[in-house]
Amino acid sequence: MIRLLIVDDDHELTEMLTEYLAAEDFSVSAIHNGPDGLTVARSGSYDLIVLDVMLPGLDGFAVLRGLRPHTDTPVLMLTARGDDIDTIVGLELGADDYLPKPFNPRLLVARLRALLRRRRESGTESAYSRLQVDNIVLDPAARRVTCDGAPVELTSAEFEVLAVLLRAVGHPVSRENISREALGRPLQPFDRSVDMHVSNLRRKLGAWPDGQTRIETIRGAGYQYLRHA
Amino acid sequence: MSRLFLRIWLWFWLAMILLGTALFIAQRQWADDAMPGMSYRDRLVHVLGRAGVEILQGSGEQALLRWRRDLEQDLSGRLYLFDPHGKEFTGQHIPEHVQNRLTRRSDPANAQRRREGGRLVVAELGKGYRAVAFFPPRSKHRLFLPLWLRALIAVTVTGLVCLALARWLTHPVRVVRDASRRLANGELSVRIAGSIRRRDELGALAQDFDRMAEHLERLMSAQTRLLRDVSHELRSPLARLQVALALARRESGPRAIEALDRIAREADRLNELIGQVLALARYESGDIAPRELPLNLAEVTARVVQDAGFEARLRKRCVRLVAPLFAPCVGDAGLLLSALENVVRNAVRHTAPDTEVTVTIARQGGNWQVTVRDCGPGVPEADLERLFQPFVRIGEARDRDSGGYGLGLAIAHRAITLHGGRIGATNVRGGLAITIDLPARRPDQRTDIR
Repeated sequence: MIRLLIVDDDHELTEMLTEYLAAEDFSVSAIHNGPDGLTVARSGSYDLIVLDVMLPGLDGFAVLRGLRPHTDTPVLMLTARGDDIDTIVGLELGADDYLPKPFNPRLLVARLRALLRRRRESGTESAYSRLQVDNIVLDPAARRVTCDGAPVELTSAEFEVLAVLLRAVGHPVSRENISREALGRPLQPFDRSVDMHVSNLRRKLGAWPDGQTRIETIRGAGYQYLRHA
Repeated sequence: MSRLFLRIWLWFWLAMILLGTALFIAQRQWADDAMPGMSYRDRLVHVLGRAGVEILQGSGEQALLRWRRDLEQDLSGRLYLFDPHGKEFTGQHIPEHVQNRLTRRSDPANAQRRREGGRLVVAELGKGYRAVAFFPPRSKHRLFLPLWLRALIAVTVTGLVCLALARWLTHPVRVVRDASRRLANGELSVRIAGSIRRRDELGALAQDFDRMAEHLERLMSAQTRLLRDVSHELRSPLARLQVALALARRESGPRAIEALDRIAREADRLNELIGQVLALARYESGDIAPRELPLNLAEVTARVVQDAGFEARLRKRCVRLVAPLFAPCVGDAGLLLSALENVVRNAVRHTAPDTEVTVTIARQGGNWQVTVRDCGPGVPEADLERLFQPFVRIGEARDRDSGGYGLGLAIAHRAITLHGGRIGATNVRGGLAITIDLPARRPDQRTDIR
């Protein structure tokens, strides 16, 4: 059984989700407000957390902010459909994935399994060794990234995306492959998560002082990490 | 410069000039009537001189001198009296310049005497007696200006005064006009009382305008908010519906599959519609200012074509992109993405089976022109304009299953307008073409989708 915590104020929805997910081998606990959600989530006895943005008491972002220093349990955020801003804020704070609400429950299960698979892979023997490109060092064992020796705070999704790009340094990687390898799921049409993660990586790593970008967009192909010229 | 401004200015100016001229002429006329051929001063000197002669003859020289001394204190000039022999009989010394001017005066060819500073008035008293008065110039600094120059100064000064007046009168009209235009273009936050601070009718007009704009804004935002709130509230039941549907699918036998698929399709459609209403409400509310980042329009378009192509293949249609590799412009990639997405998906929906939708990007002067062409039934000419209004259904015959045009094009229109671009629709042979014009820029940085 996979232990899943859902923090959402819609009682009927969580009831039905509990029923639906039980058949998919999830054991679901539901909490209906922000402050309780944060307390329970901090206990750390869950494999996955699903967090709604709109919550009474303490909104989803605040819960996530309170959660992150204490636990690295993967978090999937349920955002309001069409609110791009919310999505970006959620991912920057360290949500591992997001799903616009209303969602197809099948899609939710697929996303949750992808998160778990990724967590298991990164938890066990690393699939790759330490990577270094120019002044960036990525250490999969410690899950740490440094730039000129200074640590860079990345969410686990961003970490995986960067790892995929660094391994292919100098070659373009398609968005499809980034999604498969880093997020553990195929790319869906109108899915912007990869772009969002890359955009965050660009911001966090910064450009070279001479203005050269680290991660270039290759039209129709995807993204490419460039060695410094 | 507005016509009203010019008119007010020129008419006031003309009126001032006419008034000035009339006054000048009237004064001249009046002065001439009162003293034909003789100025006040000439007559005064004439009268005084005669009085002086009377006093000399009646009371003797001492009385005359006393009288003249008293008189000189009252007058601002000097008074000389000459007997028939040309001798000054009050015994004053006659200054040389006065003497010179007297002798020169007999020469009629000399017309320059006025220019020498001060004024000399000579009155013939009869019997050979003459009175000569000399009025020194009032001030050495006093300018003597010819008549044409004085007229020019007057005209210029009145011109400037009228200009200020015309500006003062027409400025508020102009502000109100600009504001009305902006209001008509949907900029409901425009207010003008701050730029027209006056206590007259025009000031009141500005305040009334602001009240009107405020009322309009309240109404519009209430409408948008209602639409947004309703859509927002619809999402919770819809989320539940989708989970319930998934449960039902698992519980039910194969006989219900078709009906459940149908429910799922309708739920998806509802979901998409709600997303569109919310997006449109957000764009219309003016809460979002498009980010101005350099981007490659070709890259944004390619991504939309890629995504829409996936959807199109499922429906046995395809999407083709004809574009340069690099189409630099400045804008908000997210907004442009949603605009293009709506236009392209709409074309995919309406193009006939086994046909393709063509997306082209081409340079048109200072613009990038994105054309999305489908092979569908097109749109009646009369409805082309309405295509970009929310919830417009074109023609009754339009396939209901196609989803109509709904909100997609309204969203695209709003997003493109926010970028200072234009969007339009034309019927081409065998389909509909949506044309988007976006200002092209030459960004000096590298471009990436952010």
